[in-house]
Amino acid sequence: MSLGICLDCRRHARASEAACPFCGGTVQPPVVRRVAAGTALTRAVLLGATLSAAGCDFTSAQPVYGAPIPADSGASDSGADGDVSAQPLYGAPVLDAGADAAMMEETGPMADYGAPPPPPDAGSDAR
Amino acid sequence: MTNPLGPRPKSLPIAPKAAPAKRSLPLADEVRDVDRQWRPIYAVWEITLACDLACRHCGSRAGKARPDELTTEQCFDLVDQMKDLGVKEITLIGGEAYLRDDWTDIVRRIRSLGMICTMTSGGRGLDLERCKAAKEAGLQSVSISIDGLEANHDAQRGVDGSFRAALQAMDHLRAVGIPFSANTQVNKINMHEIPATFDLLCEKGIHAWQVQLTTAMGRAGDETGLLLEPYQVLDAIPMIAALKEVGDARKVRLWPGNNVGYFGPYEHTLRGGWAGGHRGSCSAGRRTLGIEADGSIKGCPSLPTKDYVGGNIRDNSLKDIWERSAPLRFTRNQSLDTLHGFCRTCYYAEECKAGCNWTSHVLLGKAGDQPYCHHRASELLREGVRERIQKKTPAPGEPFDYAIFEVIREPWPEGEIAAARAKAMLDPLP
Ligand code: SF4
Ligand code: SF4
Repeated sequence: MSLGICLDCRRHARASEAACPFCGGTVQPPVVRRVAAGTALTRAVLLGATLSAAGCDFTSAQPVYGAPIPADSGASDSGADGDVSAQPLYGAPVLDAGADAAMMEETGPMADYGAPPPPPDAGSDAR
Repeated sequence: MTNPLGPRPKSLPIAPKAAPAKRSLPLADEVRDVDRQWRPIYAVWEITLACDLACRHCGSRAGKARPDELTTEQCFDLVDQMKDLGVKEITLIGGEAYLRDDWTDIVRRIRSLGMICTMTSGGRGLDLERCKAAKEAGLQSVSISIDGLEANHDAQRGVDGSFRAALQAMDHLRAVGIPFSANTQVNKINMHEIPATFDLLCEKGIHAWQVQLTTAMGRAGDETGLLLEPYQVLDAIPMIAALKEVGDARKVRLWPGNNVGYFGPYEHTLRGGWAGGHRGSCSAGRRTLGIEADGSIKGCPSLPTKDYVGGNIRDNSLKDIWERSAPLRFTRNQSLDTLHGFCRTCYYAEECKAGCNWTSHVLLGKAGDQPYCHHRASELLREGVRERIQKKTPAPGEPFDYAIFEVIREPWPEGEIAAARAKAMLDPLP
């Protein structure tokens, strides 16, 4: 199911809805995003720090209200070996060849007992 | 200073000795395509249950090391297997991870294989020497737990002076050049001072802030004075969303925990920047891996041991447990048919699948219906009703155990409903 945002009440609503089921407002379609080729799939990537909008008006990649995501916040320097073959898809990239892209955007990027990922410059001493 | 939580419940031991790990659990004969398609990218690993705090909300009832914690060699082997399975990022937790003598060797092994390594800590014993050793090993970030301002934090953490020690740990981390973040639980006794806590943490120099609702697991299930009533998410979620915007302005990333939600008018503020533009469903056993210090493998570190351990690394390979154990497969099998109650018929059921399975399972004894949901609470407010919780059965007192609560639905008090609706900008149902 693809969810857009109601421009009036700010709730998510199915992109197929003629109007928001909660308030009757206009539903803005979801944004299609791309992951740069060679990007290792980490939580920071799933969080969107390294995504760019594609296939639609770029402005819709910004939050409808509130502040935009700071450009330098949380981009991934995993030190990982880039074994992810990134695909231009809605949502998160595909991890394994043949995996279903829709599955990949189903999950959130973290667990409650974990920790936020390091900031972008924390991998400079990778060994 | 008066303890805002009152005396600790005395019926259970504070730090019980953990039972030995469950061993030789059954695995399916066949591996399905879906079991091969999902791979963990993030592992949260309790490397010891030993702890130097005595938190009133500790889900694992940490304190004493488990009787059968993995050896250094077994830990190294597990790190190698995580790398092979596709894990990109590992967070070490405890108890207190630094209470293991070989904790920096484990950090070094993780980093040597190119994986991200972070740690979550109460910070009480995170002195300069330990921080230097962690830096040298390659630790990339530490999340320090801060649960309110000083009196409230010390009351929840069970040790006077723990707040000051935690802030001092941040100073040590800064001194050695390890970036630090913070994590905070939101509950009944600290909700009023969460904005002030965030302000203090921003001043202290955190790069990110993870915020989550206190969940009724372990000792938190004993402390009924701590847990929010489900209808109180109508105050908690907008507050967290407002702080997200504060964080954006101050360049401090707010990480809403997976039990902060769901799908109300604030979801876009909280998670609009995520890949999908909103929270998905529970990632346990699909994106996330949880490990207990005795080698028990779960789909998420928070999930209760009794119901969600799929195998032990001493008996089977990580890959086999991941692909072939029923508890690791459960979210791969989750569908609308596994939901019940309000969530079963919710507009967002297909995307959300009842939110965080840990939060609902440890409250109600099974997953699939989520009382701690902003969308649900606001739809009920439209109808003029609200939900609160009441304990039915106490927890047995083991690590990662839970009590059983029931959800009581009641009319909103006459004197409060108009204000509640106005605040939520909701019209009553016609
Ligand atoms: S009511 Fe249940 S399914 Fe619906 S948004 Fe809330 S948690 Fe998700
Ligand atoms: S059980 Fe909750 S914390 Fe664990 S992965 Fe699922 S949503 Fe996240």
